[in-house]
Amino acid sequence: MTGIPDSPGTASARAPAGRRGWWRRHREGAASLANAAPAMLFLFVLYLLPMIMLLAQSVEGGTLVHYQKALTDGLYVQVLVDTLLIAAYVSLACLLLAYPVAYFLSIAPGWWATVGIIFVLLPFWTSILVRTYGWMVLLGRNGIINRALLDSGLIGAPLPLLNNTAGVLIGMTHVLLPYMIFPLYAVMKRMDRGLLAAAEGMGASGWQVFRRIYFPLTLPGVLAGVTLVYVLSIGFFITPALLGGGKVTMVAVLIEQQIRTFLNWGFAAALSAVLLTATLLVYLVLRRALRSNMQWN
Amino acid sequence: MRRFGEVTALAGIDLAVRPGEMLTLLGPSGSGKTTLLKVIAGFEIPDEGEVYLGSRNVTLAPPAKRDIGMVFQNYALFPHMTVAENVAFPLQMRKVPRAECERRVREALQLVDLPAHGDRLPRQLSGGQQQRVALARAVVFGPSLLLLDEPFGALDRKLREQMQLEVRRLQRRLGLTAVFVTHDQEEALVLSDRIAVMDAGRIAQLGTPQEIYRLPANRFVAGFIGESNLFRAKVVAADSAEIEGGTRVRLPAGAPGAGADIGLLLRPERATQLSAGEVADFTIACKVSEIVYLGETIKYRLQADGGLDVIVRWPFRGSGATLAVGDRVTVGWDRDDMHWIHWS
Amino acid sequence: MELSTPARLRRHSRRGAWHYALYAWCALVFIFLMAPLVVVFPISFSSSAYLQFPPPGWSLRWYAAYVSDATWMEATYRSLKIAGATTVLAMLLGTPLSFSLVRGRYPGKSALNQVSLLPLIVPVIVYSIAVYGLFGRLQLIGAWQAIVLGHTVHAIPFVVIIVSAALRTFDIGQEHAAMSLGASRAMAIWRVTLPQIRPSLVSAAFLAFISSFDELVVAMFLGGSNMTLPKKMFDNIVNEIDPTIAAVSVVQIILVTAVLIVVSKLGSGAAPAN
Repeated sequence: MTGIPDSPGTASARAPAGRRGWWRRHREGAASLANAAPAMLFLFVLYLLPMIMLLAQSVEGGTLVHYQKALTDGLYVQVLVDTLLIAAYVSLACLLLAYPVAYFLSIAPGWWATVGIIFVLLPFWTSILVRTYGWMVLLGRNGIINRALLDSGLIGAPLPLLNNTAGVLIGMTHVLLPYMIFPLYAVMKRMDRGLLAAAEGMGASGWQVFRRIYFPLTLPGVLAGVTLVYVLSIGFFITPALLGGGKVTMVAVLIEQQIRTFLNWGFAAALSAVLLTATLLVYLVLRRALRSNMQWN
Repeated sequence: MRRFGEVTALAGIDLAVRPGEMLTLLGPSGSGKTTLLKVIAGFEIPDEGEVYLGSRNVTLAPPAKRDIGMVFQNYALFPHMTVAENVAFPLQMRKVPRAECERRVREALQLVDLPAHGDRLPRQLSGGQQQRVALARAVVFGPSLLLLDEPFGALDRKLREQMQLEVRRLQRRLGLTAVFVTHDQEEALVLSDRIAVMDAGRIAQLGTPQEIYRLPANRFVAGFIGESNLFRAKVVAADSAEIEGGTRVRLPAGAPGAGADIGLLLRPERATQLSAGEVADFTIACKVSEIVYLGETIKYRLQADGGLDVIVRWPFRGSGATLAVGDRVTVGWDRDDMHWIHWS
Repeated sequence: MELSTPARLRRHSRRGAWHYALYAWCALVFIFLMAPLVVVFPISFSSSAYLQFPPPGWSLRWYAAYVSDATWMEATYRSLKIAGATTVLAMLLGTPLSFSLVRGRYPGKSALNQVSLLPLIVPVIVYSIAVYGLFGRLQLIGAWQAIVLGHTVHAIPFVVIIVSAALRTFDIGQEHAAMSLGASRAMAIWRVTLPQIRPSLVSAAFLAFISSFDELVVAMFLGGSNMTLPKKMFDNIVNEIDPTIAAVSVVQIILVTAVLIVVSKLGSGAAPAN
């Protein structure tokens, strides 16, 4: 210790000594909490609180009768099963459509990639209602597709493409496809292409390179995309309501009916709880799979 | 003292910087030098201890109120502001009137040799130029202390050496007190008035570059600064010790008494090649086992007949006989060429 | 090597075939993605009141119908107002929250993070009836401000995701530099941090705006008889009234395209240097 010189232009740091600047030390933490507080208060009052109130209504009067109805009545069980199945079909369709497209976007030279991404972004940013309307124009009995097929003589009578499950699947796949393309594209774009060349150099065939190297490396993107699409699918309302023509009932449509038509809050709340549980379950399971998959990535 | 979880990043630091000096905090990564710098700058609040600037206790003062100029590792120039706006920033924060502000920015840019670059954006400048702007920005408001956090790391060797000299010149000219952080010992030896070698959150040694190089205080400093032969030895008599393997040497003055466990340090350039008839305090016959050409010098690894491994470095004189692997050679040194330290 | 040449050639041509299949597949998917957007253009210019393709004649009557119909205009205006207010509110709440979630060191932070992102995962229908129940008790149904509150809940996660990502890659050294040069933390954020993450702020605001402007389900429950544009469109589609909806759709597609171009320009122009 050379002593603390008293002239300006000197600095000294000594330790340890006793003084505690509790406030100065914790000011940043306090400021961080203060930053989060308004949004958290907002989300609590306008998000968590109404959700809790709704879920409480499902067991109002201390009975589980609403849950019993939702989970045992054949009619409603069928709706649940249909919903989960449709979500699965949509996820699969999105994956099959998206994988090659994401690959193309990740390797395409500048201009082509830009145009391709615009073709994905533009529908993504366009209102679901506009897109659903577009599908009605395309798929209707007198729609463009049926007209073209009839005129070309390929079919004798209009195909039933609208107001049924087919219409709902097409519409939902269209809406959710970008959610599958983006995570896949992100993973493929980051991929080290040297790995593929290395595998080829070791004598692997094109198919082997894909199966043993490329696909496993894109698996995190696949899982992320499937999670997103599946979770969004099971809560879908607008597309089944419009393209299903009242013949395709998914859980979200059922919930809306229970409130709007029957004012049956207890049952709607129970259905909401079931839907919520299914959503969170899928989300957590797939996120876990994603985590364990990311570890080596 | 600054603790992060279980790890104590700094402990028992007791350091005073003298007015107008360039003091270097030198150490490997994780030695606590950057943490100490953050404590001085005010980005970290020590759990214990105090920081004084002159006579002012600034331990709890926010960074903005400390009046410290800082040059960051990656310069941290604001990319969305021009060079002049960058340099003007600290003056604006101090509410310096516009006209004076402009004058001082001009002067500062003049000082770092970039008078015509005020309207450029940082990304339009070379690395060296960005470095100068960062320097101008750190000194334009006349800080009482200048902190330099590994400022030359991103520059190539030639530019680095040039900038080192320039920073040193500027610091002397402005009479700035400066604390400089680096892990590069060469840089520290070139730039500093004094060096504080840091190890595991403590100051292992504080001294001038010469002292640090010639008289390292412990094994850590001896190993970290420069290349050296460090022989473990046991003191056997008042002025002699036995190096592992049984070789006896005479001790330099001031060595501890018999029984002490010590290390004997020999810088590779202090050993000389002896021709027949020449004498030294200590002489050994060796065989050359490895040769490394370093340009102006050649480094030889020698295997002494007693089993001792010695590294020597001698100037390379172009002409004249050089040694080859397997050659026999006699080397020697005087006892004052050695420096002893406690082993533990 | 002579011997390997034929094999290699064959392999290359096979890869070529694969690539043609890939391009064809992608072309089909792009057509699938764009088709429903493209078809509304000719319909919107049709002279027929029925869904007919190709249109029997061309006219601007559906655009005139949109602009001159007071309920369409009111719905459009209401939606713009709601989306604007939602954007402001979501940015004011979400930006400080992002700072807190990225920079803060306090217990329970990851739980806060999860809560703030929850609205993205929870089905909109569930939230809609929940908030419908709450606002019904408070007699807020029909007030445009009520819809703003509901939409803000859904816009906050977008803001948090985008602004947090920007903050995570932002070099905190920049802020430290500003503070060492005499700026208070608030001043450092205002003068140094926010200008540099501006592209992300613009994107976040855009996303918040669109998420509200296009939102149907919350607005359907909370709007009462005061329809937003999506609700008006929904009713129009359900009742199959006339192709006015096609004209509205075209206007929306063009607006979104224009805004996308503006956002990408603003984004690239302000990208940080390093």
